[in-house]
Parts: sequence; C-alpha cells; structure tokens
Amino acid sequence: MKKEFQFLGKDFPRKEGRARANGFEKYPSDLYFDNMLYGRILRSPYPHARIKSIDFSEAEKLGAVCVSYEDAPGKRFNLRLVSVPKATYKDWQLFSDHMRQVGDFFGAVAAETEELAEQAARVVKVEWEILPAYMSMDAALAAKDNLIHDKVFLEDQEIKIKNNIACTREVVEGDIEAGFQEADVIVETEFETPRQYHCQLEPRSCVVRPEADGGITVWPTTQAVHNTRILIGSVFNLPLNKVNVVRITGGGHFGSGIHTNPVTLITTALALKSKRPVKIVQSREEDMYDHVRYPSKYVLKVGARKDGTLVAGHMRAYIDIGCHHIQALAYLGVMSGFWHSLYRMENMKYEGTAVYTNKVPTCAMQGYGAPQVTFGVEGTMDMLAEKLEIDPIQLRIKNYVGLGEVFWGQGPTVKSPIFSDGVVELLKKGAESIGYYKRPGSQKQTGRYRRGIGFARGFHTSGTGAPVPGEVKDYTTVQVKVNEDGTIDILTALMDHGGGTLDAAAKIVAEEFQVPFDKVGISPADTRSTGYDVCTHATRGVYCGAGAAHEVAKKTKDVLLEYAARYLDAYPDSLIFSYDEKSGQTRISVWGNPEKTTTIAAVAEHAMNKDWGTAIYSKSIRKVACPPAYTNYFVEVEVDTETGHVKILRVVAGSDAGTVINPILAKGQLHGGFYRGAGMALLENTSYDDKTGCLTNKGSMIDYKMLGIDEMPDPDDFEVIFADTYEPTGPMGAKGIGEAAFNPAPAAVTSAICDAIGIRFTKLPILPEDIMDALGEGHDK
Amino acid sequence: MRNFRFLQPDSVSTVLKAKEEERENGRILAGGTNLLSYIKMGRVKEGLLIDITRLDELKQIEDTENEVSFGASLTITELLNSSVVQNRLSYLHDTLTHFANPLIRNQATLGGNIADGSPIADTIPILLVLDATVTAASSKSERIIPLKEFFVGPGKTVLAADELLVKVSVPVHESSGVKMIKLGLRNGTACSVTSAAVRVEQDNKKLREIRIALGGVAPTPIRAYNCENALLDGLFDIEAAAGAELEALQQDINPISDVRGTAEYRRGVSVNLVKRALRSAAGMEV
Ligand SMILES: Cc1cc2nc3c(=O)[nH]c(=O)nc-3n(C[C@H](O)[C@H](O)[C@H](O)COP(=O)(O)OP(=O)(O)OC[C@H]3O[C@@H](n4cnc5c(N)ncnc54)[C@H](O)[C@@H]3O)c2cc1C
Repeated sequence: MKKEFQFLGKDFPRKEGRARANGFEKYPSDLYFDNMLYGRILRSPYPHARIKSIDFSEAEKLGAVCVSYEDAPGKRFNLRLVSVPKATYKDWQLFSDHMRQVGDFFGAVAAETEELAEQAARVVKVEWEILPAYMSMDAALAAKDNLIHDKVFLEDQEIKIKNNIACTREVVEGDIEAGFQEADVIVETEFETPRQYHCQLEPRSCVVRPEADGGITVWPTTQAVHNTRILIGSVFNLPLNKVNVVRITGGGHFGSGIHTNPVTLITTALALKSKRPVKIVQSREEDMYDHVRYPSKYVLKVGARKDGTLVAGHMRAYIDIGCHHIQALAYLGVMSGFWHSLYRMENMKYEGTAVYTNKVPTCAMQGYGAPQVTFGVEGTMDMLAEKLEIDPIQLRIKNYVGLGEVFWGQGPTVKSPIFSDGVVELLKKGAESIGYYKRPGSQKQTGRYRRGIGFARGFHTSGTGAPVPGEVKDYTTVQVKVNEDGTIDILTALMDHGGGTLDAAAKIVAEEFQVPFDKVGISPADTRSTGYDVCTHATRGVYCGAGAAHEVAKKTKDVLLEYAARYLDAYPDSLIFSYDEKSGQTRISVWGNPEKTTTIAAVAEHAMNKDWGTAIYSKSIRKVACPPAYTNYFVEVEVDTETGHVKILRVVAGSDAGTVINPILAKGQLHGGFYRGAGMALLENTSYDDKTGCLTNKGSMIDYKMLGIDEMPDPDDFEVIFADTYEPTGPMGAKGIGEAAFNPAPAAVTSAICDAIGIRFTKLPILPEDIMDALGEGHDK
Repeated sequence: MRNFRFLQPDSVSTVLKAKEEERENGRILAGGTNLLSYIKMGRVKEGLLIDITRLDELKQIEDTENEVSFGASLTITELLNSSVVQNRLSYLHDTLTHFANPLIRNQATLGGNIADGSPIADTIPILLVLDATVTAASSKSERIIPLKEFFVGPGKTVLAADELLVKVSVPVHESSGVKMIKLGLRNGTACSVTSAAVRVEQDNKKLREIRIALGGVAPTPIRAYNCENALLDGLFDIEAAAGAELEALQQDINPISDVRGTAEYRRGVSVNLVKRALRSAAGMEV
C-alpha cells in the first residue's frame, strides 16, 4: 500500500529542464577548448579484411597527428566492465589490423579543423587483404578458418574460438524430459527479434584534454564514468588518479553507453599522442556502425497440463552478436533469467549460443534481453491459452512469478525474493479499461480495416543487487551534505540519462529531510571527486542509485541530529523534522516540548560557528535485492488490409514501480518505452547487404525508419495505471521503471495484430509486406 | 578528394552559359535535398555547383485558361501556398501535403524533384496523369518535352548535358477527377514505397478517358498503358472499372525488392492503390 509523502508522488519540473529547453545544457559535442584538434576515425570499407600496410605520409603532410594499430598496445579487453572479471570475455584491442565489419576502425587522425581532419583521413593509404565475410550465423558456424576471432580471453585465460562461436551458456532447473512427459499440451515455436538501433539523439562522441600534471580529463558519452576511467587507465597504463572522467549530460544512451565506446579510447589515443585536447563527434552513419541491440533467434517449447499449470520449458537460442563481445555471456544469462522469472516452471532448460558475424557489435539496449524473451514467451502463452481454451489473462495469473517467489533479476547469479507485486491488479484494471472482453475478434470482421485488442505482461529488474555476490557488480557511492543555510548537496557519480534519476535522488533526500525539492542540489561530479558507481543500467537508477542516496541521507541526518540535540539540549531520538510551508523552513523540534524548536539552517550554521563540523556523510551502498518492476500493456490496433499498415489506436499501460517518485516523468517513461517497443514490433531493424557487408540503410536515417508522432495514439488515448504497491526494500517504497516500460510492448502489439486479423507473427518487425503476405496466404508467420 | 567550385548566377542565361561550358560537370543545385546527400555519399565528387534558387525567373507561376505553368525553382512549400494550386489544382495540393516534411518542403524544388529522375519522386505520378510537359532550355534552344517521355532509367532523364529544366506546364482538366495516393513505411518523412495517381473523365457513368501512373514499381515513374487500355477497351462503366481486378496492371509494372519493400508487396499494393485512387477520382466512396 502506498504511503503519504510530502514531496514524493507529486509532479515536479526537472532540475535541468530549463537549461535543456533553453539550449544552455552542454553535451560532449558542444565542448570547445583552446588549441583543440578534431579527430576522424579511419574505418574499414570491407566486412572482413586484414591490413597489409598503411601509409600516413600524405595525411602527415597536412599536419595531421595519426594513430593506428602500429602504435597501439596489443592488450585485449572488454569495453563493458559491469561484470566481474571471471565472467568477462576480452576480444577488443585499441586498434587492430584485423577488420571485422564494415566501419571497423584501424586508426585515427587529428588535425586543426574538422575539414582538415576529414581530408587527412581520406588520403591515408591502406593495402588490404580481403577475407571471406560471414554475414549470417549459418555461414559463420560453418567456417573452419579465417575466423572472425582466433582466440579471446576469459579473464586472463586464453580461449581458442571454434566455428565463430563466441560463447555458450546452459542453465538447467529440474528435468525437462520428465516435465514434458507430464504435459497435456506442448507448444513449440521459433521466434526472431530484430537488430534495433539505439538511435540516441547524440551520436557517441568524446573530448579528451591532456593536463599539465601528465593526466587527462575526459568528457565522454557514457552511462558509467568510473568504468570508463578504469578502462582508460588499464588500456593506456595510466594511474587512475591521472584519469579524470567527467559526468556530462549525454544526448541519450538507451544502453549504448554501458560499455565504454570505442570513440572514447580513440580520442584518448589521439590526445595522448598529440598532447593537445582532441574532440571526435561521430556522424550518424558512424554511429549506426558502432552499436545495435542484440537480436535473438530461439526455439521455445513449453508444456502445460490441462488445468493450465506449466510443467516444462526449453529454450534454445542463437544470438548473432556481430563482430565483438560486449559481454554476450551476460546477455545469454539474462535471457535465461528473464524467461525464468516470467512464469513458474519446475523443469526448464536454457541453451544459448552466441555467434560472431561480420556485423555491428551488439550490446544492451533498453530492456536488454527482456523484450526479446517476452515476445516469445507471451506469444507462447497466448498460443497455450488458445489450445487449452483458458482465458489468456487467467493463464498468466495462474503461472506468473510473484509475491514470495524468487526473482532472477540479471541471470542465474542475481536473484532475490519478491516483496511487492501489482500484477493481478494491473491485469484486471487494464483489461477493464480497454474493454478486453468486449473485443470482436478477427472472425467477425470483414472490410478494409480490422481492429484488435491484445496485451502482454512483463517486467524489468530494479538493478542487479542481490544478497550474495554474483557475476555483476552493483553499488553506488554517495555523499550527502547539509550546507550552512540548510540547503543540501548530493555528490555521486550516478548518471541520469534524461529519465530524471538524479532528480529522483534529490526528491528522496528532500523527503527524508523534509526540505523542499529546490533546496536539494546535485553537485557536478567526476571520477576524481566521487566513489565508484557501477553504471546507470538495468533500471537501477532509482532503486539502487537514489536508494544509495537515501541510505546516506539517513546517515547525514544522524550527524545533523547530533548537532541539533546539542543545540536544543535534548536527545537526538526525540527530534522531529517537519516542513513549514508558510515560512518555507524545515523545523527540528523536540517532541512534547513545543518551545524547543529550531530550523535545519540554524543548526547547520551554529555547528559551523561552534566548530562542531559539517553534517556530511559518504558511503558505498549495495542493494541486496533486485525487485521486479512489473509492466503490462493493453493495446488496440487497426490493420489496413489493403496496405498492411498497422495503426495503434489506444494503449492502457500498467506499471508497478512501487512508490512513484515523479508521476509525470514516470508516465513519460511509459510513453517512451511503449513507443520504442512498438517500433521494434512494426518497423525498426538494421539489415545487411550480404555482398558488400554494408547496412542496407547505408547508415542513413532515411532508411532507418522509426515510428513517427503520427503513428502513435493521441496522448488522450494513452492511459497509465500505477499499481498500488510499496517495495519494502526500496527507497521510500520505490522500484524501477525505465526498461520495464519497454519490455512487453512488442509482444502486446503483436498480440493485438493477431486479434485483428487472426495471424500470429513470430518474427519482428512485422512490416506491411509481412502482413500482406500473411493475409494473402492466410496463415501464421 | 571532393573538389567543388560554386556559382551563384544572376540570370538564367548565365546558368545556361555555364552549363554549355561545363556540361555534366556543371551541377545544378536547386534545394539540394538530393544533391547534398549524393555529395555526402560520394556519388558526386566534383564540379561546378550552380545555385539556381535565387533566380526569380525560375520562380514564376503562369495561370492561363487551359494550363498552369510553374518555374522549376519553386519549392514544394511555395506550391502549397499558391492560390492557383489550391484552387485550380487542388488534387496537386493534396498530393504535396504528403511530401516529406515541412523542413524538406521549404527546401525541395519542383524542378529538382523531376530532374532528379527518381522512380519514387512524389510529384511525378500526378503530373503524368495530368499530361504535364516540361520545358528544357540550353544556351542555343528551348524544347518542350511531354513528361511521359522524360524518364529513361533510375536517375536518368532525356535532359542533355547542357540543358536546364526551366518550367513545368500542367493542363487544367476541369471535368476530370484526379487522385494520387502515396504509400510509405510511415506517414511523415517517408519515401514512397509505391504511389499511384489516377485521372478519370466520365460521361454518364461511362469511362471516357483514364490515366494511371505509378511510382516505385519500375526503373522510372510509369504510365500504366496496358491497364488504361484494358479498362477503356472494356467500355467499362465506372462502377465496373473500380471493381475490376486490374490484371493488366501487372504487365505495366516491374518492381524490385529493396530496403523499403519487396517486389511482391509492391505488386500487390499497386492494385489496391490504383483501385482506391480510381474510386476516389471518380467521386465514389472509398
Ligand atoms: C528527408 C528527406 C525526405 C524526402 N522525402 C521526399 C518525399 O516525400 N517525396 C519526394 O518526392 N522526394 C523526397 N525527398 C527527395 C527530395 O527532397 C526531392 O526529390 C526534391 O524535390 C529534390 O529537389 P531539390 O530542389 O532539393 O533538388 P536538388 O537536390 O537540388 O537536385 C536534385 C537533382 O536534380 C538536378 N536539378 C535540380 N534542378 C534542376 C533543374 N532545374 N534543371 C536540371 N537539373 C536540375 C540536380 O543537379 C540534381 O542532380 C526527400 C529527401 C530528403 C532528404
């Protein structure tokens, strides 16, 4: 049940909203320093090739500073440092002579102007040896030699690669053979999800400035300043106190900044060599060749008893990871985990294989593996419901993993019990609001336009904390300090990608101290002034990050209470904080002694003047649970049977985020998450020209189509329902929302299309041509 | 290396003189919405860029009894804002509202849309069914070319190396019904996957004249002559025409599969688009 709060649960304008709207906010691509050079990255035109020789002489004549694999340390690493070392595969090098995709980088140049850098990049001469390219998993798996990687390292152990298999993972619970024996009904289906491009507004970019003390300052597009620092230190052999990575607002990430982007290392290499500040802003085209969502192809087999109880499940997944590991092992793990946590099954087996191909390296994107897995699992639940003749909502309610059960938040090594659960409430309210039981169904409709209502449910973890250490690191360091006028500063390396994570931290701290929101500030942060924070990913921003701020705020408050007790001549435990709206002051009073009262400001100032000290505290906090933030979407669509176009008419979103810190931002997350999820269902994909190895969209937005504002329902037809839940392990009852907002959306849209035209799609995106094809042939796709 | 020179001429005759000297190397820069992307992609690497956007001579609209003529440098936005287009060619106005997005419309010109020679240029199908002509000028002469004879292949037109497209003339068919439908992968800022335009003249519910044109289904925008003839030969009444299966259309079109859609899809939706455009042009319920 929700609690009453002074500030939480109310809409607040964003702290940085004004700066963003007015154009004052600075992003890496806005930075300029005197004496700065501009960099350009040298890239392979071939999907698979080796460089025989490279000639920089013409570029150097233009005054360019050049770096390449020839002057790079050979060290191998992984760009993503979220996992612990023993679970980290290393196949990246700063530069390599082995080109593994079109757009792969082998060097870079820096010059006085962007134009000159561009010119210099064009006159670099390269002699190529072209290798056979593997543009599909089948081709890659069949290969015996000319592999994309011969060897990689797992922590420090060398691993020989065979058949381009990057890694595999198996997770088994119970005995599926025995389980399937018990099943009355079995559904087995192959599902496939697309390579969706993050399309964050700001392409991955970086500025690096060498400092007089021999160190460097780095302004990257990243979701994790500390991991960026640690990687730079290790790749370039720099002591960490000489690498300062600054938290700067990024123009969106969606997961593309969990790992340190290659551009960050490349810019660093140029800055170290030139001893001058260097800036690289990638073009959109370069960015499209830089990162992409993991696609997934898997066969899912699920068995159920007549009464709807699920008894066994088997998932065999093949993941085309492109030409590098950005931690495919973790991806395979979360696929198994998200599946495991959707529906209870005593017997289950997951087998995942990650395959290298000569394509863009895949990485996390909003939802990580959850949208991919949820698409197939929810599709399978619909099919089972049909076969068993059980209401699809009831089938879910019967089998979902909920209150009191164990939730796998981030694969098999990150799990904790579930303490809050709004699933049933949200399913019932959503069905009611959209009129789920009044839908006509595909059989009764004729004519050009057919309408359908569908739904899907899912969740995301809130962070990757757990009671015992697992494969993923998860903690955040925060300092909270009360200033001499009673205002408060929060210092932390926690990142905010635009969703309001830092605002949430400020709001929670404001609530704890009972001071108004605008009296709590977020200090600028860099790696030199802050303790470690793992990364803002895995929907951990509010639950873990702001949660850490809350825990530290309580400690800071204890210090303040000590001072206040001395000041008021009372005992700390008898002091009460209350906000007085009229004076705008937060009072500290002794209970039962109304005359003994003061303000935070007075105590803080007095403590300074008496040399008692500042009320300040700093600590690293790890969460010991990873609660599920449940979501569901009910969607109504209209399918145009003349063109195959799908129009989304209405959406009812259900979100169990625990205490909702800032409703207007939380709703924004749901609108945004649904929007991209619907895009994954209907449009977004990056495909390849197998002959050239190029993206068929050629890195151009003209042919990377995303839904437009026209394709989204009117905001009035997008209803949001928040569950009435309170997460006992969360900061003031809060869980996460960001990725949860995405995860069931593709499945829900697919389910609505099926309701409209009677055809179930198992491969995304569902393009107009697929719908026309299926309507022509009249069967599932 | 990219190597461009730039010319901002003050008259059409200067443009034509430059074209005569530079020939293929003299690149007409109108709105640049295509040309700049060609330069960026490396398809165009050098030459003299001849900016024609400031020439008032190419921005005139002539409104006569039977015909409206448009200067080649008029932008799509200028056409949309023109009262002549709004009143006398309302179907053209309707078509242009689906063109790209407001930013591109402010920049893109009619001449650029035609001279570019793209099979999916959105002004073409409707101009084809209206029997439009274009005027090409060189420093020596001027000629009028029916639009249906203008396109040779993807990106190729009959314009000679020294010619400039100066004018587009559109006959006004007072008694015709006209409709163009554009189909993209989404509504805003989308290239056509397939588009279809139809013009019908009817006489007592009988089909007297019909023009059908399509984009995105062949190497150039096309007139669907087989389909037109099949409908006329059948002496169809308009109801029957709108209900016909249009088998002959498949002989007119020759679509390919590309990043925006499969050939199969284009074949299928072409029929649906033509039927719908036909019904709409004939004033029937769609
Ligand atoms: C984001 C985006 C969306 C788009 N959407 C659409 C759309 O919805 N529909 C559509 O049809 N197109 C679309 N386009 C393509 C383009 O905008 C149009 O084709 C436009 O009309 C081209 O006109 P322009 O003036 O920009 O031509 P330019 O790019 O300046 O020129 C195009 C070509 O024609 C030549 N040329 C131009 N004018 C003349 C002339 N008078 N005589 C001889 N040669 C000439 C140029 O030399 C060049 O080769 C889009 C483009 C972009 C970038």
